[in-house]
Amino acid sequence: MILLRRYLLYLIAVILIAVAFTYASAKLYEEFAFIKNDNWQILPSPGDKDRDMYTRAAVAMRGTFALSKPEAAYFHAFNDIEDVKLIGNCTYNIIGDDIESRWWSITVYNEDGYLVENDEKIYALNSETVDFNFEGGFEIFLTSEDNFISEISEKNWIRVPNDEHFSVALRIYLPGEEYFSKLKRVDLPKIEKLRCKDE
Amino acid sequence: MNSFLKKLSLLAIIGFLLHLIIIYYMPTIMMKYVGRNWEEQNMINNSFARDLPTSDFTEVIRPSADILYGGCVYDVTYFPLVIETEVPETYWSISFFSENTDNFSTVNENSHNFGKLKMYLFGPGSTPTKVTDGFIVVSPSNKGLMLMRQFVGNGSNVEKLNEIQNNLNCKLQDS
Repeated sequence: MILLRRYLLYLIAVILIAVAFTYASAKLYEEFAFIKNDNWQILPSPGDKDRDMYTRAAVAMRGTFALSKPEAAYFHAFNDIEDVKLIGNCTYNIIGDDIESRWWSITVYNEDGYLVENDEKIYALNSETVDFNFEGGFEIFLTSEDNFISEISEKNWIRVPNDEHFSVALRIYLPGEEYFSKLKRVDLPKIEKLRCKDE
Repeated sequence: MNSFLKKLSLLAIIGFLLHLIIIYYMPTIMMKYVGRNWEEQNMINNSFARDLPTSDFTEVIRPSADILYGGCVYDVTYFPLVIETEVPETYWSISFFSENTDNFSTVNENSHNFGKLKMYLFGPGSTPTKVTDGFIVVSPSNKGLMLMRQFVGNGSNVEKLNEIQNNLNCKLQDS
């Protein structure tokens, strides 16, 4: 009985150590594996068959069926350009130029990684639905304020979840093979905070 | 080294090995979790079609709201899978994911940009030589997933894209 109890304790210790290694590796992975470009982060080879097993596991947890390069580049933003977490009680704008590719899109997700519920059923804007300005660039607003939408911008907005952290995905399809060799330097739109409800 | 330190080191090594096993099998477990209802929904070696994702869609995280998804869950243990579809004028791709979620092959408008498309998906180790009327893809695992993505753009062509998606055909070569 004592021997059994001892082996049970060993088993629990092994499981705890394995969980601790897994937790630590997940934290370290987030810190070191992503390429950072202003407010965006990207895994350089999320779907590739020769990716390492940590990337494979991380992608399975975050997106499951990611395409390999050069088919698509998936950028994600959890913070604004000031490196502050995106939150739904603030309004943001995303300013950028058209991106050379077959097409691109910007999508907002709630904290759980799902599309944000809204009456308008607008979850994303893409290179065909965004309203470009005369210089060929665009400005997209992220807001949960009905007043803001009616006052400032009738076009180019996506609703964010009220009082909840959220993330933004920038998908770029067929940007060209060499795009992937300069992910750290490519020009990407910037997410800037405009105002918050409690300010 | 005293006996306590020896035991601690051994536990740490076994714990680390268990951690490696968890990481290695995590994608396969996720694939099984995502596909937990595939069999009862008769999706194995049959095509499926999904509506454009909305906020009610929770099958996978971070779905693309600009893409119409269709595809086939495959099991090519005994026979190859034949995939037939029309390709749209908009961006499209057909991508294959093995059991551990690797995207081992993708065909898109750069390889074929007009009319009908036929593909043959073979199991691991196959060296098919007699196929002349379509693309050949060899999967590294017997089971996996094929996804067809069609870019919806501004939505003006969504009816045509739905028609293409609904006419996507996957069947085992023997059946």
